[in-house]
Amino acid sequence: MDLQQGYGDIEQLPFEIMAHIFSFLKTGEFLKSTPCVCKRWREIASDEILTWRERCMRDFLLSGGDKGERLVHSWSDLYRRRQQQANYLKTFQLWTASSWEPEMNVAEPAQATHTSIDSNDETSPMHVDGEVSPERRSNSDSSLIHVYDNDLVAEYKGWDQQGTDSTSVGVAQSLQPVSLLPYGDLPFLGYAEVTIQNAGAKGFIGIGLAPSGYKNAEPGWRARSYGYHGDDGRVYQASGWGSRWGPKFTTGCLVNLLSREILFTKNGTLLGVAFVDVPQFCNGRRKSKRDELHWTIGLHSVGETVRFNFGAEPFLFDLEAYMRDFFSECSTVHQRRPEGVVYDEQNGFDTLMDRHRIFQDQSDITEDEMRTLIDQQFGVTWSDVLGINVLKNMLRSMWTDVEDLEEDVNLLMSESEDDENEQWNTSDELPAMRWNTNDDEEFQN
Amino acid sequence: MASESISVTTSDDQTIQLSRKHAQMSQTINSMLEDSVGADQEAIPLPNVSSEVLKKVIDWCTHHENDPAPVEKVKKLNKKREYKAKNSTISDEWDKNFVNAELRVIVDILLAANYLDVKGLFELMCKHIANELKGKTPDQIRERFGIQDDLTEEDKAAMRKAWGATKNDS
Repeated sequence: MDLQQGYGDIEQLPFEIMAHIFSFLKTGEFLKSTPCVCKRWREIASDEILTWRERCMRDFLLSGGDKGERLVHSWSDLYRRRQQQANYLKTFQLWTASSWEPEMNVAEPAQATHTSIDSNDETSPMHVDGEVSPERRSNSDSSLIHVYDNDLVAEYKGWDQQGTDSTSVGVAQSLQPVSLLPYGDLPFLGYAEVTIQNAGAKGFIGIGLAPSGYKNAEPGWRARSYGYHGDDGRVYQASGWGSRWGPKFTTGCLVNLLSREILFTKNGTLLGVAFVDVPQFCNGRRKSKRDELHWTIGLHSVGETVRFNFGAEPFLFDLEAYMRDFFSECSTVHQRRPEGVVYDEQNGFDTLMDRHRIFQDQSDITEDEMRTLIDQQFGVTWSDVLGINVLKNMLRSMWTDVEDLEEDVNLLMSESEDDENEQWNTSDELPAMRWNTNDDEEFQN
Repeated sequence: MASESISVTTSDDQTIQLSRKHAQMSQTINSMLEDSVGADQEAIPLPNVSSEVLKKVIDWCTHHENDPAPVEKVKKLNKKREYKAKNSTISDEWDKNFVNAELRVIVDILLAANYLDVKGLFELMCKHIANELKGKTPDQIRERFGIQDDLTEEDKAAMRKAWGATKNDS
C-alpha cells in the first residue's frame, strides 16, 4: 500500500465525522495522540459538544440533564472532575484499582490551555448537585422564600409574627435529586453543606432530605423526609439528638448509601449518625420519581438566610477522611474492585452493564445466597443495597481474569449487538459457580 | 407498483442499476423514493457519489442485505448501553477485507455512506479509521495520513502538559 499517495483526503472529512471516528478511541488513547497531530484535530479534540459531552455520557453516564452541574462547568471540565473523582477514590484500598480503565491518564487537569477552568474547586471531589428552586406557598401569591445568587442562597420572606402552623414554612429544594459520589463506579455517598448566613428571629431552620414537591413543612415532619432542625437541635424521625445552631454555622448533610445512613456535620466535624436503615431511595429497585429525595431546607422565621453548597466550593467537612475511615472499617478480605460495575443516575444499581451479557452458563443460586456470598467474600454487610446485576458482577469479578473477560466481551458484543437485550433479560441467573478455594491464588496477583 | 430496480446517476454521469432492496438500505435514497411515489421512475441523481465508490457501496450492501435492520432504540437504557458497548472491533471477516483498501477509497466510501445514510457502512469505515489511529504517536499519524504539521512546539508542549500526551512526539 502506498502510504504517501492520496492520504491527504482524511482532511476532507467534516468535524462531525472525525469526532465520530475519535469516539471509538478510549479517552486515554485519544488524548495521547490526536490533539497533537494538527490544528484541526486539536480543535475537534477540544470541542465541547462533539467530544466532551459524548465522553461524559459514555464514560461516566452523565446525562445531558444534569443541569446544575452543567451551569457551572463545561463538559471538558466536568469530564476532568469526574476523572479526578475516579482517580481520587481509586486511592482507597478496598480493592485494587487494576481493573479501572488503566489507559486513562488525564493528567494535571488544571494546566489545560484551551478550556476554561474553575481553578478554585478543582480539588473538590464533589460536583454540583443541582440548583435550588423555591417552593411557593400553595394558597398565596407571594413567595415565602426568596432565592438569589445563582439560586444558591435562600432567604425567608414571610411576614413577622408568622404563625407556628406548618403552612407558613418556606421550603427550598435542590432541583436535582441527591446524586451520589461513586466509589469507583459504585454510588456511595452524597453530601451537601448549608451555611447559615443569618439565623433570623427564631432560628427555625431545618435541613435534610425530602421528596420532590415537599412543601409547607420543615423537612422531617412529613412522610419520607429527614431533617435536622436548628430551633431545638433535634433530628426528626428520631429524637433528642443534636445541638443548637448559631449564625454563620455550616452544616452538612451526608448520605451514605452503602451503610444506609444519614449523617450530619457541623462546622466541618461529624456530629454522628442521625438516621439508620434509610430506604434505598437511589437504588435501582426504587425507580419511580417519587422515591427520589432532594436536598431540602425549611425556613420559618424572619431574616433567615442560608446558602447551599453542593460542591462548587470546597466543603468544610473532610469527606476524604470520612471515606477512608469508612472503608478501613470494611474489611479488605479481597483486594479487588468489582470490575465493570456501573452506576446509572436514572436507574440505579440495576442498570448494567454490557459486560454482563457474557453470562451464558446458568446456575440456580438465589439472590439471597449471592448476598451472603458477597458479604463473606468482601467482609461487608451492605450487599443488600446492591442490585442483582451488581451482585453477579462482583461475584464474577472474583473468579474471572479481567483481561480474558474483556476479550470475550468485545467478541460477543460485536457479534450480538442486536439481541443483547433479550439475551441479558432472559439470562437472569448466575453462571455456574466457577470459583473455589483454588482461585484464591488468582486474587493475590 | 414500484419496479424492482432503481437507476441512479452518479457524479461522473453514469447510470447504475441497483435493486430496490439495496437502494432502500440507504436512508437518503429511501426517502427520495418515498417522496416520489407514483411519479415516473427517473434516474435518481447522486451528484456527490462517483460510480467507482457507488459500486463499492453496492458491494457492501449486497453482502449485508440480509442483516437485521437496526432496531429503533426505544429506551434510554439502551442508549446508555450503546455508549458502553462502543468499541472499534470489526468482527466480520468480509468487512475486514472490504476495508483493506487505500485510504483515499476509504474516505470516499465514508463520505458516500454519510451522504447516502447507510449506517452500517458508515460505522464500519469510522471503526476502520479509528483502528488505524490506535497506538500511534502523532508523528506516525501524520505520516500515515499525510497531514501537515501546523502546530508549533509551544502548542505541543502545552498540549502535553494539558493532556499528558505522549512524550516521544518530537
